[in-house]
Amino acid sequence: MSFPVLSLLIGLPLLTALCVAAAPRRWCRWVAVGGSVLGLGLGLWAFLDIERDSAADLQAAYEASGGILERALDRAGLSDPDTREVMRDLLRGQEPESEEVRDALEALAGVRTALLRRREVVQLGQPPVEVERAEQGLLLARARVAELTASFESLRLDLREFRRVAYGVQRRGFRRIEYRAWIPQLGVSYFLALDGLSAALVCLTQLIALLVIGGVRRGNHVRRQCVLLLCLQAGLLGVFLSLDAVLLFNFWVLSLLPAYLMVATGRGGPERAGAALRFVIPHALSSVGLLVALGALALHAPDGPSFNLLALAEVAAREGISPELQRLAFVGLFVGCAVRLPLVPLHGWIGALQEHASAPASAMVQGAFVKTGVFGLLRFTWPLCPDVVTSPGVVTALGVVAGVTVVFAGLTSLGRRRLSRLLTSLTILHGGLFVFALVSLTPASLAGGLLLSVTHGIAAAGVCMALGMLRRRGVERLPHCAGLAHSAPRLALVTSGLFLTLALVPGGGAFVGGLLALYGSWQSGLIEPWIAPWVIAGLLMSPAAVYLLLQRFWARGGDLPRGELRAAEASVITPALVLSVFLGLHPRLLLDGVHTWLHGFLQLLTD
Amino acid sequence: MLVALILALLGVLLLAPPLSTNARTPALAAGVCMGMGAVVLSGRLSLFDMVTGLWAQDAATDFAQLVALAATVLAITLQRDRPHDAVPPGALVLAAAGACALASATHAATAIAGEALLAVALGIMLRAAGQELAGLVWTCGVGIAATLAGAGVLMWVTHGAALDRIAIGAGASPRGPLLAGVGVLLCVGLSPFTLLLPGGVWLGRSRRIPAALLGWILSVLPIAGTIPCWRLTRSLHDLEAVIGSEWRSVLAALAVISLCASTWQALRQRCLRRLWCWLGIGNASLFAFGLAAGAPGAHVEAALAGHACASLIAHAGAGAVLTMAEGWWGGNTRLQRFVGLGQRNAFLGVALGGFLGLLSAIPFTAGFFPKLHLMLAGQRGGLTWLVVPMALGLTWVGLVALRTARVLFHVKEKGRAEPLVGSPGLTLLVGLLGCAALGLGVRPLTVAWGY
Repeated sequence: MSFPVLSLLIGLPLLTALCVAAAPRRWCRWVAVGGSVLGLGLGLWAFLDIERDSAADLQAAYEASGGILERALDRAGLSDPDTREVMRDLLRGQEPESEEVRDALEALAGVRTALLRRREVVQLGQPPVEVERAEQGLLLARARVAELTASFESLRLDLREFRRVAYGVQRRGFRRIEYRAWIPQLGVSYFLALDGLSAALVCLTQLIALLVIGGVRRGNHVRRQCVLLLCLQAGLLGVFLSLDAVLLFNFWVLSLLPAYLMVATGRGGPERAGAALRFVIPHALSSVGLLVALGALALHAPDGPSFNLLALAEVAAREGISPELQRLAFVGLFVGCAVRLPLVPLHGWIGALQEHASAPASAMVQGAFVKTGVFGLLRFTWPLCPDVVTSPGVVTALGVVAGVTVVFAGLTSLGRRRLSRLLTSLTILHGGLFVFALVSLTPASLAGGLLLSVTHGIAAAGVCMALGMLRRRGVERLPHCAGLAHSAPRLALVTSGLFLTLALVPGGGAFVGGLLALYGSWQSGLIEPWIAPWVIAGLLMSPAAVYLLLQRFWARGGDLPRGELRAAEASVITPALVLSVFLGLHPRLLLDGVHTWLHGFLQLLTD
Repeated sequence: MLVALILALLGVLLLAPPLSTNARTPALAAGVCMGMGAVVLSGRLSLFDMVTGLWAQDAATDFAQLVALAATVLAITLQRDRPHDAVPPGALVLAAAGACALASATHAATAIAGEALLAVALGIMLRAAGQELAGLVWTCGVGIAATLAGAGVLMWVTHGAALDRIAIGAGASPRGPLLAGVGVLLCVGLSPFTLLLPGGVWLGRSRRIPAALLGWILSVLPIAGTIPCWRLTRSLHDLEAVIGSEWRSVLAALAVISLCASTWQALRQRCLRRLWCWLGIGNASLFAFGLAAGAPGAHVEAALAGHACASLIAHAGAGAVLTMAEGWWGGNTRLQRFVGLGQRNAFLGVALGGFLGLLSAIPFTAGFFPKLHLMLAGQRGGLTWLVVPMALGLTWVGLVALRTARVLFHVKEKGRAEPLVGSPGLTLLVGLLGCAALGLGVRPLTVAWGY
């Protein structure tokens, strides 16, 4: 196995968290920032390197799977070099679990039996005692053959894993594979890999974590906040890099715990405990549905239980999973992701969280945690239920859900009196638009949806941090914003820019993403035509709400002065604005990176 | 059985006046338990047990005996700092003897004998802890009678003679499915030692049990009580063609109801010790779910062994932290006392939250994979309609643990709070248990399939 970069990516935040826990209080933040910078560097390197020649990685994949083969031969007790070589030649073919392998195993047993028989025939002329001995020898040899056959059963179990890894990796273009059998009896493995989708989201998470850690205020809780942030970061990275359903579910739940504790024990509003409970209950309940659905799919894999997402997707694509099971599983998987996204009517948690959680907690949740919903839809919900997501009834139903979400978010954004609530509406709107793009299943819509999602992550995290700064200056509601541009022009400018980006105003990455999503949907013709006007109407309402906010910023009046943006604060929110605008000007930076993944994804669903 | 016999003799000896008042008795009791553990590990006593015929010395018995002995040593160690209100070590050893006897019983009569011994030992321990015994005597009496009745019903239905050798005779009862369900319900559900509700309600209603003893009860009783039921249900699985499989649904439903009801009770508690107690009762119900889901080939024994280890770690760890807390606050373990514990001693705060979380299915800890395995076994065994509420119940347990963690890390006042210093020995023990929990989470096969 080559150097485990992906394990390092996940482990680095945890290692940094340990260092932060042990460091003196005044150094905590700097240690955390250092770890995050390293993590971001690793993530960027992995992302920019994703489209390189895949030969080396393919070799690595074969090495990883070859390791499985060698271990399997060891366990089967085949120590003889010649026999091992023969087995290797046989098994390294295109179909290692084919009939030939079984035949080879049976032939091996047959050869041994024949040898014993010949020995018996040779001994026919011997006295009865010798014949009896020979018979005993024969019995022993038969026992050995039976033992060998039992060993070969376990060999076949391992070879099944070999086939799953090698086949999936080859077909879907994954890189930097890290594979180890974890609990073979349950079909669970430690399987990490990187593709365009995960690389983009890993970079996003690392970037947001760095910005948020940079924005944690000094004080009593800096150590705890940094440790929880780093644990959350590790959990999210684990979700984005896992290709085994159980491993992914582990990280999925693991990311929930620090997020809950950050919201519940951070420096938020007085109702933060209630907000944390409202946050964690729907997520925990929806995780149950997710686990049951994944378990049901894993148990119905034809080769025995397997949680390998690549293998399951291949099985689903080859119509190996019944439509009834797919329908039931889709409900569990979709609800699990829709809560995180969030979609109407599962969005209740996000408003309370945004209002009462501390700025770092809400930035991490809005910027990165929400993206696990996007990832879940793309990584397992759609690939594991291909028949369901392409059936016209479900497409229409999902289009309606997306349309209702966008219209609801647009309407509520117009009536918001709190800045945090306005941000909540915009997040819900982005979730709805992403699902609208996903349902269409065209390259343009998917690329647009992903661009929209990444830009939203960066801008929403920036807005959350900006709202924290405004809260410290006594600005929480719209009326408080009056005259902010005169008392704190730089703060007002950056906040306005971030809000405008989120509202899909031209110039930001979200605008390009939204445009691509709408174009792709029109191009596909899968969605009923009457849904699109509603979505567009909902989208037009959000800029109107943001323009109303800007009007307040630039109006005269208000309680001056409020304090201008400090350099430390600017270093947190300005990069978010710059990046989200840069993605609008140069969207190919992201789209080139996800090109291979996008085509593999569409091929899997449409073949 | 010989292990149980030796332990029982030693327990009676240690309860006698000269030894019970001796300061070195705990060390002696712990040493003997460890010695017996080594003997069990080496398997030298199995010959005697096989000769007697009514007792078995198999892997399950070994496992239960090791857990009982380890928990006894831990309970004796935990009480070291509180000699004034400690439970007599002799009673703990006697209770361990009862648990060992129950775990090795292969016949209804020997199981009842083990239960009786365990009930007597529990009575002595609870009396020493200042608990009123009327409720315990009543519950144990009814429970043991119900176990006897249930075993009788099952033997009548199956014309069998022993727990692990039930055979269908000629003319088996036509009401087999119904009666089998009733028999299992009586045997498992009403037994006071499986800690399944309603049989285990006595523990939830007990109020004065010290943390060390509670840890012992929660980690040992479900295992010792479940093993005879496991022998019984293993036979029933083989007889499903005759007696039907309805009893599995009955048992699994009872387990799920028990899990949800006890978690609901836990949610209502304002005392951390009682909250932990109810969570432990809920956690014990997963053993019964495993018995129901454990069709041949599901390898559910591995999951049950893993679950037992996770329970032992969680209860021993929580018991250690709460014993320290009892020392700090004079036996008061109200939840209010623990507000801000994470700020005053971050290690113990994280540990207590983690050990309570271990009772749910927190990822990468010893609690996750056994429960996942049980769920998959349930799904495979056609109990999906019960797997979903079970998973929801476990999620609920997780939420209770999270709520407690929030209390532990809630900041009461600004500025630095006065730090709480734990006993070094117990802190080390907590650390080791934490490492074990994480280790088993990452390498679950160590216990589950290695045994």
